[in-house]
Amino acid sequence: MAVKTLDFHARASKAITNESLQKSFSNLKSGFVAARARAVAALPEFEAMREAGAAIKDHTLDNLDFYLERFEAEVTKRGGKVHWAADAEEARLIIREICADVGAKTVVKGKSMVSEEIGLNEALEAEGLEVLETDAGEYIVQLAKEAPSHIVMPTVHKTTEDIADLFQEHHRAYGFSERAHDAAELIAQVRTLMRDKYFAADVGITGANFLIAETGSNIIVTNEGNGDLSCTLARVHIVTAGIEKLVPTLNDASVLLRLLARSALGLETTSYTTLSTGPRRPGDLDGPEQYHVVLVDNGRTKMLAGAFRPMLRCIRCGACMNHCPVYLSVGGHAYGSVYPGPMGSVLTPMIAGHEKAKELPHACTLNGRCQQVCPVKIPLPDLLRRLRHDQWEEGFIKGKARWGISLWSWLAARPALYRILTRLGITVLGIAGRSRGSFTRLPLAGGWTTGRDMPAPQGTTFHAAWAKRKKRA
Amino acid sequence: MTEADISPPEVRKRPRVGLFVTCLVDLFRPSIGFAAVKLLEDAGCIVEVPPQQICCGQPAYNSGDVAGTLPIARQVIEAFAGFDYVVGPSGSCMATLRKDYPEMFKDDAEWSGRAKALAERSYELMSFLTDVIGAPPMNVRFEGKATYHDSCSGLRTLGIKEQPRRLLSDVEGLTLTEMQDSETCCGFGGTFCVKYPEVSVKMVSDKIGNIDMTGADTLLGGDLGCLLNIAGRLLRLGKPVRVFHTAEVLAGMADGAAIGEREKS
Amino acid sequence: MLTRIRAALGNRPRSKGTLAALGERMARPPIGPRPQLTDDPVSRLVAKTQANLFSVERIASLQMLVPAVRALLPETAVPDISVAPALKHLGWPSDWSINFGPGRRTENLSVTMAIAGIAETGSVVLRSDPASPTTLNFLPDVHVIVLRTEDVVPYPEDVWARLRSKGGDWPRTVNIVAGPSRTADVGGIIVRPAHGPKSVHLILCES
Repeated sequence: MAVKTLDFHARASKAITNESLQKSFSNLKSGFVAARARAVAALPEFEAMREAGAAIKDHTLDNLDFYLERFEAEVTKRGGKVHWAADAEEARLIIREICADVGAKTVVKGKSMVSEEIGLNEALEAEGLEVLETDAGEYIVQLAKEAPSHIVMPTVHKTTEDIADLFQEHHRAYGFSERAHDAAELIAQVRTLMRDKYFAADVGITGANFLIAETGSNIIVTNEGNGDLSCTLARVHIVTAGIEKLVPTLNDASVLLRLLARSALGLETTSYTTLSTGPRRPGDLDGPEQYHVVLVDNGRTKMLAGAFRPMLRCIRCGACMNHCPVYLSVGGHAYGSVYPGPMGSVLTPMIAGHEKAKELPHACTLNGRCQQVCPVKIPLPDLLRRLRHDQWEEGFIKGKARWGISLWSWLAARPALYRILTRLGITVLGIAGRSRGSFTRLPLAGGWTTGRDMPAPQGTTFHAAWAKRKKRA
Repeated sequence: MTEADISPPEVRKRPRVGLFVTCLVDLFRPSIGFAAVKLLEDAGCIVEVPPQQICCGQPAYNSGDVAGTLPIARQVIEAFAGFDYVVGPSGSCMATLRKDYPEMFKDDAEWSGRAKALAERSYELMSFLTDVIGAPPMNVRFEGKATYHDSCSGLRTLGIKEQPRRLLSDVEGLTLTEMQDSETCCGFGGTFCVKYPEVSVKMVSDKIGNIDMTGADTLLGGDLGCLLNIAGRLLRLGKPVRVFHTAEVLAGMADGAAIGEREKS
Repeated sequence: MLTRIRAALGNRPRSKGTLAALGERMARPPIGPRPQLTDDPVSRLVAKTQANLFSVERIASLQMLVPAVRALLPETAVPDISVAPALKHLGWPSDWSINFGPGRRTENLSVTMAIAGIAETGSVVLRSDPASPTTLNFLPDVHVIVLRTEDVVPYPEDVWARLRSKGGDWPRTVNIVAGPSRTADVGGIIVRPAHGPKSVHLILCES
C-alpha cells in the first residue's frame, strides 16, 4: 500500500489553513452526520441491528476458513474462479496475469478500496493498460492524480470549482470545449464520455461490499450504476475483495446492508444493490465471459490471530471518519493512507507496519465518537490505544515522548517525592501567575502555548491544602 | 469475604467516600477538590483523601506505556481499598478506574479481583451525587448564562449527560443554554493537545465558536483537562467567557477567580 | 492462505457438533433484526418507491402494458425502445422500432420485468436470464419496470427465500433497484442521473 504517513503532523497543519478544504468539509459535518442521525432515529431496531451485525461478523471470522471454502466451491460451481493473494504484490500479479491472458488493453473500474490498497491502477498502467475509474468521484481524483480522501466520498475535499477547472483542462479531448458551470453539467460530461469506455472495455474490475458464501456471489452497492455497467459490459469481470468481506448467507448480508446505507449516507438503501454470481450463462444476451474473484489477505490473517480481530468486522461505511473531529479538521489526505480516519489509523499500521504508520494511532483524542457510531461496534479507541502499547513495547516511541512519559510514571508511583516536587513547582507557578491569571508562554509547554494560554495554578496543591485543613480540625 | 462484608453502606448510616482528587485538580485547581468534598459531605458522606494517590495512570496508559501504568494503578487500588465508594471530579480519570483497570489486570490473578472491586465502587462526582447517593438540593446561587461542554470519556464511557444538567437546574440565577455539538471533543485529548497543537487548537476553536453562538458568559464542564484547554484558548482569543468546573458552581464556590482569571485583589 | 487462516484461528479442529451447526445455519439461514412493517406490503411499496423517486402507476393486467408504455413516449415520433424478451409476447405494435435484445449505447427507454418488489425499502428486484438482459436496467434514460403485485414481499429475506426454493441455479445477476441513478461526488450536490437511468417508472400489474 502506498503509505506516506510519516508526516501526518505537517500535512494536518497545512490542511487546517486550507480554506477550500475546510469549506468543502462543511458538507460532511452538516449533511451526513445529520442524515445518519435521522435515519438511526427512525429505526428503533438500529441498536439490535448493530449487535446482530457485530455478531454476524464475529461468527464469520471465527469460521472464516469454513466459509471461504464454501464460497470458493460455489464460485467454481458456477464457472467462476477464485484466486488467493497473500499480499498486495501477489494480488497485482494475479490481476495482471488475468488481463494478459485475455489480451486486455482497457480496464474500467468500479469503486474498490482494496484495489487502492494494493496499488492496482499503477501496476496495470505500468503494463501498458488503460485503466479508468468510472465512479464519478474516483474518476475525478484519478484525473487530478490524487488519492481519495474519504472511503465513501472520494472527492469530499474538492469544491465544484476545483472539479470544473479539472474537467476544463482534461475534457477538451472528448469534445467538451466549454467550461461546465455546475454539478449537473460536470456529471453529464462524465456520463457521456464513460459510455464509450464501458462498451470498449476488456476487463471490468469492481470491489465487493460483501461476499456470500451461500451462493458464491459478490454484492456491490452503488448509487451511480457505474459498477454495474463496468462488470456487465466488459468481457471479463474481476472482483477484488479482502477476505473479511465474506458473510455466510444473504440473510446475514441483509442485516449488514441495513446498517451500511444508514451509517454511510443516512439512507435506508442505495439506488443499486447488485449480486453477481459467476460469468454469463448459456443463452444470456449480456454479462461477462469470465468471472474472477481475487481474495486479498495483505495483513488480514495477522489481524485475525490477535487482539485486532474486531477490526475485520469493518464494512467500510465511513461513519467513523464522518464523526471524527480530527478527520473533520484535517481531511483524509493528512493521513497519507488509502484508509483515513479512525478505521484507517488502525488498518494502516496493520497492513503497512508500524514503521510506516507510526503517527496514526496518536492522531486521535480517544474521544470515542467513532465507536459510538460504528455499525458493527468496533472498539476503535481501544484498538488505537492497543497500537500505542505495541509501539511502545516494540520501541517505536522514542526520544522526548518516551522519556517524558517514563519520568511521569516513575514519579507518579513515588508519592513522597512527587509531593515535595509538585508543592515546590506549584508554589513558584502560583506566585508567578497570580497577578496575571495565565501564562502566554512557559518553558517546556510550547505545544500548549502556541495557540492557548496556560491558566495559572491556584498556588497550592490540593494535598497540601487538605493536610492543613486536617491539622486545623 | 465479599465486598458487602467489608462495607455495607446501607447498614452504616454515612458512607465512607475516598476522594480521588486527580492530578490536574491537585496541581492546578484545588478548589474543585474542596468543592467535591463539600458536595459529598453535604450529601451525608464521610470524605477521606488517601495520601498515597497521585494520578490514575492514564497519561502513561494512553501513550503506550503499560508497564509504567501498572505500579500507578496498583497504588490507586491499594490506597482506596476499604472505602464504600471512590469518587472523583473527572469523568476521564474515573473511566480509567472503572473501565481500564479491570482490563489492565485481567490476566493477573493477584490483582484482577481487586481492580474489579475498585471499578465497581468508583464513580464520577456528578453521577455519584445523582445516581447513587441522591444528593439533596444544593440551595446555591450563581448569576450567569452558562453553557455546558460534555467531556468525552464521562459522556461515552460513563454515560454522564443528564446528571450535571439536572443538578445545575436547581442553581438559582443560572440559566443553561445548550451549545451546538456539545458532545464534540474540545481537542484536549491528553498528550494529543501538545503533540498536535495545530489540530487541537482548530478543534478547540470550533468549540469556542459554538460557545459564542449561545451568548453564554460562563462555560461549565466536568473535566479539568478540557476546561484548561477551552479556558486557555478563550484567554488567547481575549474572550470574556468564564470557565468553572460544575462542582465549583454546585458547591457555591464559584465566587473567586475563574480558571485562568486574574485573582481579584 | 486457508492454512494460515486456520493457524490464525488456533488450528482447532471443529467438532461434529460444530460442523453440524454450521451446516444447519447455512441450510436454514437465520433472519436478523429488521424494521417492523405495519402497513400492507403493496401500499408500503408504492409509498416507499415514490419516496425513492420512482413514478408509479397501476394496471389491471399485462394486456394494458403496451398502452401504458405508449403513454410514456412522445406522441410525435415512432417509438424506438428496448423491451426485455421476456415481455415480447405482449403484442407490441409492428410499426414501433423495438430492440428485444441487450441494451444499446444510447437507449431512450427500456421495459423490463421484475421478479419481486421489497416493501421495506421500496425496491424492485430484477434477475438476469436469457430473456432478461441486465444491461436494460442500466443503459436507458427511462427504465420502465413491470412488477406483479403478487410478487411484492415485505423483506429482502423473502426474496432470497423465493430464489432459494425456486430450484434451478442461482441467477448470474440480481439487481435491486431503489431509484434513479445519482451521485453527490461534485460538491455534495445530488445530480440525477449519473451513469444509469434518469428516471424509473414502476408499473404495478394487479394480475
